[in-house]
Amino acid sequence: MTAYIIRRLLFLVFVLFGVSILIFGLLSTFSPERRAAAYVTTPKQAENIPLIIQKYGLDKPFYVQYGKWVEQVADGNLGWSLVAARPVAQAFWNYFPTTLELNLFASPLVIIVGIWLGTMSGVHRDSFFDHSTRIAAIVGWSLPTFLFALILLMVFYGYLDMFSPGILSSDLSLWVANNPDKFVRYTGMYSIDGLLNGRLDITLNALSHLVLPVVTQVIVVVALLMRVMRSGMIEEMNKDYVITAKAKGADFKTIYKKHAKKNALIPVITVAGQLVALSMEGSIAVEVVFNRQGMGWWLAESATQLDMPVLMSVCMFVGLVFVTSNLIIDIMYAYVDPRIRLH
Amino acid sequence: METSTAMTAVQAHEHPRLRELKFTLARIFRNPSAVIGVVLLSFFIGVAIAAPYIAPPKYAHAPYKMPHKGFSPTPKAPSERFIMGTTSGQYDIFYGVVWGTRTAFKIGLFVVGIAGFVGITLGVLAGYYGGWFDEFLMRFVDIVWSIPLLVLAMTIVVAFGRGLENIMIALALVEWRWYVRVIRSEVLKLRNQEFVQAAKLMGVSDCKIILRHILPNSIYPVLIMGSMDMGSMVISASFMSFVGLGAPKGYADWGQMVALARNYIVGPSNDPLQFWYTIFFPGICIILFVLAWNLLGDALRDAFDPKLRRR
Amino acid sequence: MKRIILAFACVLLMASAAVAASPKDTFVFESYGTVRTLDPACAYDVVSHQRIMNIYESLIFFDGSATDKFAPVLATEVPSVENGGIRDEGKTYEFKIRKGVKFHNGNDLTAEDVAYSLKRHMVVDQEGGPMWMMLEAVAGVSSTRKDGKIIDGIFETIDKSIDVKGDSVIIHLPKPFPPLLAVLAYSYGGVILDKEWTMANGGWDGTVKNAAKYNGPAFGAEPLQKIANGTGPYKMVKWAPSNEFIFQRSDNYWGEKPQLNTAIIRYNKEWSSRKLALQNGDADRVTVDAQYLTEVQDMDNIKLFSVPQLSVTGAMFCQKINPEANPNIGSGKLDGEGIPSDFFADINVRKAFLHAFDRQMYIEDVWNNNVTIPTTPNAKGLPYSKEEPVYEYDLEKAAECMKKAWGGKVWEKGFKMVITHNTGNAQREAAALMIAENIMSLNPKFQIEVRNVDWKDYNVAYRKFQYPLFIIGWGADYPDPDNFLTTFMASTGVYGKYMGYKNEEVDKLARYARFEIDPEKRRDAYYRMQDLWYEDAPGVILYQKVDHFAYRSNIDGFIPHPMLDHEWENLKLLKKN
Repeated sequence: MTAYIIRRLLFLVFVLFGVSILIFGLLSTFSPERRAAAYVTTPKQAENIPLIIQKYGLDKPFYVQYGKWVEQVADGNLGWSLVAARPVAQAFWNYFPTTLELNLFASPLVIIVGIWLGTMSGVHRDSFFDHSTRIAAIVGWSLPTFLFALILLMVFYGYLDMFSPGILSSDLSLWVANNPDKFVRYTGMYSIDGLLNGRLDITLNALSHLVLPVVTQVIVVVALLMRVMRSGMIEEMNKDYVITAKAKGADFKTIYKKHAKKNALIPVITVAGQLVALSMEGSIAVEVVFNRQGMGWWLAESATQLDMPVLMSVCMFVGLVFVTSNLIIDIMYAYVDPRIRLH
Repeated sequence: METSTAMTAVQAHEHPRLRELKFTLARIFRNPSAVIGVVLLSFFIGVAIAAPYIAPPKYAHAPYKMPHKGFSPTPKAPSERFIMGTTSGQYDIFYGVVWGTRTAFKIGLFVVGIAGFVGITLGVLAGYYGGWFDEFLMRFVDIVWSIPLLVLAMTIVVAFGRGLENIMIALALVEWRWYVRVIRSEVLKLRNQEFVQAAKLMGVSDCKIILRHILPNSIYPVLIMGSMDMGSMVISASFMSFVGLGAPKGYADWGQMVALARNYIVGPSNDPLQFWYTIFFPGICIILFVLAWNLLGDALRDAFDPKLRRR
Repeated sequence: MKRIILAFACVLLMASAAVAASPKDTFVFESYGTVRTLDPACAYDVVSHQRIMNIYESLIFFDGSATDKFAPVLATEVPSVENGGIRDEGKTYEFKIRKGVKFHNGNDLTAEDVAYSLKRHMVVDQEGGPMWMMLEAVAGVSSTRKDGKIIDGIFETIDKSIDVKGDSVIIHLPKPFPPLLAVLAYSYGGVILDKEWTMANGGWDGTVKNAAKYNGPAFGAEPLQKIANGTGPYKMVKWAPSNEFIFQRSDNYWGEKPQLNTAIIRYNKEWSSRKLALQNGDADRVTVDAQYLTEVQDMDNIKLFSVPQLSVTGAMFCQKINPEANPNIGSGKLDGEGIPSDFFADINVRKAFLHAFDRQMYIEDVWNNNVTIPTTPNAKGLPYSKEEPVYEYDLEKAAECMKKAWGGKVWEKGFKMVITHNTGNAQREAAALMIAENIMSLNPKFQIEVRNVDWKDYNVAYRKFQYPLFIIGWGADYPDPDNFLTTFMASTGVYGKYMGYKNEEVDKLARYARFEIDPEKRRDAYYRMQDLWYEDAPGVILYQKVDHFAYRSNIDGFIPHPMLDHEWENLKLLKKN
């Protein structure tokens, strides 16, 4: 087991290296002028493009630039984000909590709702309930996320004037900015910092801003989980032990709750990695529409504005999250299913 | 009992694959949601084929360009002339919806075709032969795998330039990794099974084994995934339009139309639904299109999954 | 369980309802601009300018809505020839510095601070920064570096050009530079820092010897990037990039106490979300792009100001297109499959394109009748603006011109080309489409494709002469015809260069008029240049930008100004009822 984990961690280093080469290579396909243009906002400034290229060595060969980047990273300097107007590392800590907060609330909901719906759907296969939940899930999922988010925004904020977009209301945000000593940003997430600082009003306010983003995120991600749970459930329900139990007259509810559901959960763990990826992608549109500046928003903005250092660092960070979460999943898997050995 | 023996007798004359196919089809059509899916798809295919007759293009050399009357950014409600109204820039929504069907198929077929072909080829080779090629390929897939689809696709589109063609290329470039993984794991399961080993011992060439035995037995998960992807690629493309990397304004593409209409979802305060048509028509098309492919995919899954099909 | 959820939901609803409408003494502005830096030596965009100019102050500022009249700020009077502030035929400027002004950190403003600040900005001179204007004025060069190396003796020149004499600061120019006051009134060179504080925070140490060390910092490495200490009415409380910027009233402000205690400028990219925020009163002002204007006009309780800007956008013909691997000109020959690289060198082609631009429809449809189209690059509101005749929308005339063009070959063979515009600009896109479609309607052999290109790429491509026709705008650095006519028309101008347009007379006039102090001679020169814009038809001016300021109706105090665009907000003037 330990050897396995060590090997996987070594693999992580390899993946990070590969990702950095890949993204760097991709970004090197831009001409030096185009990358220099990223620093330019007015036509007058554009006159300086050749100077900018020279200054940042944008016309040097690939390996020289990559070497320079690695050197900098080794120094702990991830570069400067044009989009965030901050060093990348610092900007990261500004944006990361926002995304984490969103998924911290969305993920448990996704799991609860997805597993419940999937179970019910699988148990009552081909019933009206089955068909309608499946179609509802597909419809939710086939709406482009941004469209769904905008519709929610219109109905709740436009019509009913509640759940305003943003992260925190102006007055509270002001209070926090003016009282850095009274309100310590332990986690950077207002909903949790509010509790830690004993300010329930801030927590509630932050939560009310979270309602629509979380709902959108859940709808987007839940369909996948539901589908896997459903087929797992169908499979288990058709296994001999269930049929035997049924034949022996065991209570239907007990069968699927006590036995089938537990076994059906195993394949769900395998798609957990995919769920992580989906949540990350879902965050992009959710954050743009609901005006929550987080990782997703930052990434989208950087990709469209050619903010190289950000793309490099964030892709590597995502790679890190992805590989580690897969590692955790594997370990969990071995734990849940004793037949599996990790080599 | 009587009938089933009779059926076995008849089926005995048929090729076993054909029999399987018939069974599968019967299994699929027993499922009402699959029927809905197939009906919807046939409708879309019909519209795509008949597009030049339903909505004759203004410029023969650029049929995907939506005609417009004027430039005003404020959408206009459905009228006799424009039965679905006009969207921002006075583009005819009906025309866009009709020709957008073709675009949707184009995106789906291209991406799934290329990604599927590349993925299947590499996956089967890697799975069947193993060795250093397998090792190398899978490590590469691991790397690509760690970058979220949309981020990678966005970067590629920015690198190659905006536009639908580049979106399709970018999506194909990131989507193949799925197919490699899925088909490889299927091939690995088959590789050591008796019938494959037997064929090898009998001296059947690798090429024949792959085409005759491996591929037909491992293709189902790929088919299911392909069918789902046909729909989801349209959504991914619309996301690109949303972040401003999509087809240009006025191009008949549902995703682009929805992204363009997003500022009109919220109408003026006295009449919030004033511009419903700008979002409704292209939006419903995307939903139905994706729904159709998903229903089909779901039905395929139920029908092909060996553990589920006979029950 | 269910009851708990229900109770929780109720509390959430109450929490969300309780916070509607922004607080009484707070002003909330939602926009989509992002601040790049707060260092006045490096900031060269309108968003940073807004933040800087509410925290720091300059010696003088625009007086009300005027572009040529100034009001004293940190100077006690605006120098002029009459009061002796401008001497030596415009080569010496003297500013008397106000007393009793304190920086936010409590330090007093001195003449020494002023001289240091003006020099320091020039010493820093970041790549792509705004300091070219001041350098042009005091040293006659547009950068402290040439070919990547610092110009010999440039720091000595800068150091000598500004003196302190008692409570005054004196600026010496090598030759008269009429726009100097306008440059100093903007944040692009005239912002005053606290010398002691700047040096303590890693800014230039004030010596010529060490100046090179502080020259040309990398983006983000400028020492005042995220800290600020000015004399202005507001202090910065918080800057969370692309999220919110919070201003707080400064207690030791020397001038009249502003009414608003706090101002929050919040980043919000999505128009629907901004619109709802304005409608629901969560924002007191939002940025409105021209295409959404009608939606705001329909709202209740909104005050809307449309302010024409000193910024013109035009479609420029490139007369020497780069033929190398250029997808925008097809085959590169006049064979019906493309255009030659000097296609637009024939004035008939240019005139045909001008006749294909339907100004009336453009004004009505694209701008909702809310725009003016200047006839020359010299925008309305600038001195010496002259109304020239235009090539009216007339497809018959356009066809006639096309028939004459290239000895009739264009009409006979036809052509194929691409017109580009930058992504996301609806007004430019409409212009490109309009011209393309109208030209195509002349002759079925004319094929024009309209493409959008990302703004960054656009900037690079037109500078490589890749676009046969490029659509681009220019906003005033200083309100002077020189900043426009030279830019658009001179063969050395920022755009003239890339149009491949060269007229000896224009070049001579531009050079001459820049430094001429006699207003009448200057006027004649600029009038002649504008006549030549019509005669030579090197491009078509599409519009003079109009920016929209949408406030809740309980906000008063906004003063429109043609140099201050939609990102601008002068917080100290605002009042909330």
